[in-house]
Amino acid sequence: MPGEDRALQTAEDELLVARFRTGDGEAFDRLMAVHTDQVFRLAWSVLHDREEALDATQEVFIRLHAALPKFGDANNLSAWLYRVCLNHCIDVKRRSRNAGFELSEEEWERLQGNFRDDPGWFAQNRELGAAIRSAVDRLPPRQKAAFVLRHYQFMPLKEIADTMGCTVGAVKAHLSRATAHLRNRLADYVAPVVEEV
Amino acid sequence: MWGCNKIADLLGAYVYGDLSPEEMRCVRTHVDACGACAKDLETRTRVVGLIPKELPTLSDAERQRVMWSVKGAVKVKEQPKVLRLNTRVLVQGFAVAAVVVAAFLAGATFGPKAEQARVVIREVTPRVRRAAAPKKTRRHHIAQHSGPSINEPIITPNNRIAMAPFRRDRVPETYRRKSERRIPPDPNQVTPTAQPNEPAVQNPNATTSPDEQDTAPVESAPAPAQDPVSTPPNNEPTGE
Repeated sequence: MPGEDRALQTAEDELLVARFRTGDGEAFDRLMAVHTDQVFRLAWSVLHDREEALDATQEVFIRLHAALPKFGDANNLSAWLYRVCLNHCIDVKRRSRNAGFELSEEEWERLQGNFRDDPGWFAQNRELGAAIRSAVDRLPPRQKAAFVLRHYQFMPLKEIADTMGCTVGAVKAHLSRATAHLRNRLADYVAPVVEEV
Repeated sequence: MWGCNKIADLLGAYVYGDLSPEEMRCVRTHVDACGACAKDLETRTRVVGLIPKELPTLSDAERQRVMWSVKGAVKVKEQPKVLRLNTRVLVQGFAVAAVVVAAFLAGATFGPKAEQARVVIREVTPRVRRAAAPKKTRRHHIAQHSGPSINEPIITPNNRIAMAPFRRDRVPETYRRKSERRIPPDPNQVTPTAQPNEPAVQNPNATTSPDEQDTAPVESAPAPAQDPVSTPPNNEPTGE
């Protein structure tokens, strides 16, 4: 059950943080081994680029190493990691978007991610996959964070609220607006199905 | 019954099944009654279903790469401890150098050479004072003995008219006495013993030449209220 798994994970995080503070370097290696995949998946869901996602993952753990001595409560380690990763990835996206020129829709889709490592579904539906990726990428930062954490990370609303530093009601609002944006941008791909109904 | 705006804010969470039982019931009731919201809900559900939830995974090599990169970066950040020791030595060195420089400057200010410099300055200063003093003295005596009102403007040294009162035959007695002390008397010149001639009343604004002024009759002017000893008893024109 996800709740029990989360409780076990939290307990292990507390133990590892305590050991790290006593000078045990292997405790940090263990923390990395446990959380690297989650952080990478979150980074990829925002950046849609493998190399950038790897760089973002490294940056998150470098910041964790610097912040661990001052870490107050290990219960929030996962939320802290997700928050730092989201903020970093959104900054990376914003900087790459503010490069000084506007991309057309085709250029933007051509620059999106790496199709070689995508799931099979993307390989078969490249156009739709590019459109989806573009639509998700163009979400406002808060809406993108709420959508990515709910859709890709399967996090409950309460954890999303802790990660984003807002209320559950605000998370619901962000989620609703994100799905509204996606509906507007991807309506052409679903409209014929709806019309049939 | 909730309105469409409030229902729209809950549709996203409704699609993912994250609403409370009461909220779910309210949304379902409204959607059953509102065609627009029903269409909106169905479109959102299909769009979310379109987006795959699979994400790429890390290979073992990539995982190791991330770990070693983080360790290397962390070790680089820990190195400044050595720099702190060097910084301390540098700071101490600068402090010693600052003390040495301060001692040097103090010696330059208070040492024997500084005293010599002060002596030179003291010797030069009187010359400067003497150059400034005559102007004060001239102004003082012009106001007192030359007859013109003290309120009249002072003549610039470039003006030849201003030099007239200082001619030897125009110098008042008291001033002449002082000048006689400084300047040796001319043996060929007879020192006047009788009442000295009244110095001509000079109009500073007059445009005539000093020679003409000498021969021109002296205009009557109010005698300045001065010390009776210094002023001559008779105000007679020179009539030369």
